[in-house]
Amino acid sequence: MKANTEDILNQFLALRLNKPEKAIELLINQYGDVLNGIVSKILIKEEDCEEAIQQGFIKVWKNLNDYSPDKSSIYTWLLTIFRNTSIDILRKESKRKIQSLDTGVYNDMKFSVSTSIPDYGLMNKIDSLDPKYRQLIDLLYFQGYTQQEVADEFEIPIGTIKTRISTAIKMLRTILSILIVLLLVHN
Amino acid sequence: MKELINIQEYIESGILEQYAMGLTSIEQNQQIQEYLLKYPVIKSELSKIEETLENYSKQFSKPLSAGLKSKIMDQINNQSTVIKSSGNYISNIVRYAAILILAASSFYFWKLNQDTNTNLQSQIKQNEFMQIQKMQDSLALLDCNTQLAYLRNNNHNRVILKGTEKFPQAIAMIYYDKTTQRILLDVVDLPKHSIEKQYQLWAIVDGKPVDLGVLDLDQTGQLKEIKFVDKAQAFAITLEPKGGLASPTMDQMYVIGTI
Repeated sequence: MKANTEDILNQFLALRLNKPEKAIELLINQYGDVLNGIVSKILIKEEDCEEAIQQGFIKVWKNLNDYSPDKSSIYTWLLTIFRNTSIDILRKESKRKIQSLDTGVYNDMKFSVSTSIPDYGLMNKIDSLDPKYRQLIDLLYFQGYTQQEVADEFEIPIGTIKTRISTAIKMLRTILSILIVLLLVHN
Repeated sequence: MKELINIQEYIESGILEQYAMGLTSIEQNQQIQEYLLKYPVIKSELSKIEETLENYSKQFSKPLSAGLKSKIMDQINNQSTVIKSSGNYISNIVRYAAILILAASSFYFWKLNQDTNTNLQSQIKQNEFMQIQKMQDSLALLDCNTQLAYLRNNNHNRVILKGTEKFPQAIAMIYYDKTTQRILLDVVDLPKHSIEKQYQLWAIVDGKPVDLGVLDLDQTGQLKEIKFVDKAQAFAITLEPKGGLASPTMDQMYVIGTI
């Protein structure tokens, strides 16, 4: 998987110089589905999602040279563009509101190594990540809320949010490394 | 501003997770990007975080329709034609001729340089890869010769445990014989480790690691009989604190091979 991300990056950098249209095509093929998923988390209407995807890729096309591998991965760059595009579309229509947290599901962190073999969408099996972490990633990372907004809405100190983000990502990293081994084994 | 930062503390502060998620301020971004250039450890840590988030995101993927894909590509192709054909007026050509020639020639030399660099980089990479491959192959061959007697026994299933991305030079062999219920391990090449550490062998059974005990490195080149496990799907060796652990440390995995 690592090699794959690196291959895509190298291909992208080469195409960007000579065949920018091909570079966009590569990005659409590699990241279109996942970005579509993120956009659909922010926008409800199907036509808004399509609009966001289209606008997003046109922005990417016009700012192809803004991307710098020294600053982030391609995915981080793309996510920022598509998230902002979606939020702009949403703002035109309505005001966003954070959905209320189901406080009943506040358990201690629990995740276990899945005994079943994972499929290719590596993380599909990760519903064992604690809901409070999942929601935090969802609001801050996918939907682009600020930490202050989330802190105010749920009356949690910002410091706690920061700690939870680190914990959540560490948990995801552990799960991911185990899944990769299992995937290797499976193949 | 010159400063010495404690990289470990910096990584553990959680700032990189915040950065990857787009939660840092413009001022923080500037400083982080400076560190990313200066400290490769920080850069590689960030890449791991980004990779984790990217993989996490994939579970929410929704397929893009082919119609939408071609719509976007049409739009882009149209726009690029507009850009390309915008210099059609004779007056423009006259006015910009000098600039164009200058631009074209500098572009040509710049591109030439870029292409050479890219080629060189990929050649170097290819070369490194082939060297590692060659080393692994010759080690495997060497092993084949010395263990010929075992290979003559058709019941043995030979599994090459190849080095992981982190430790590409490592290699070991497993001879797995279901009929006699014996497993032999041959540690062909594993790097030397400190005395506080020990290699530990694992079998993967039903997707779970099963501990097969710790190894002594002086057994390199010798066949060692190990506990038989039925239905093993793979074998792996990790480097653990002396005495071994109950479950493997994934980033210390040196070799792995599937049956």
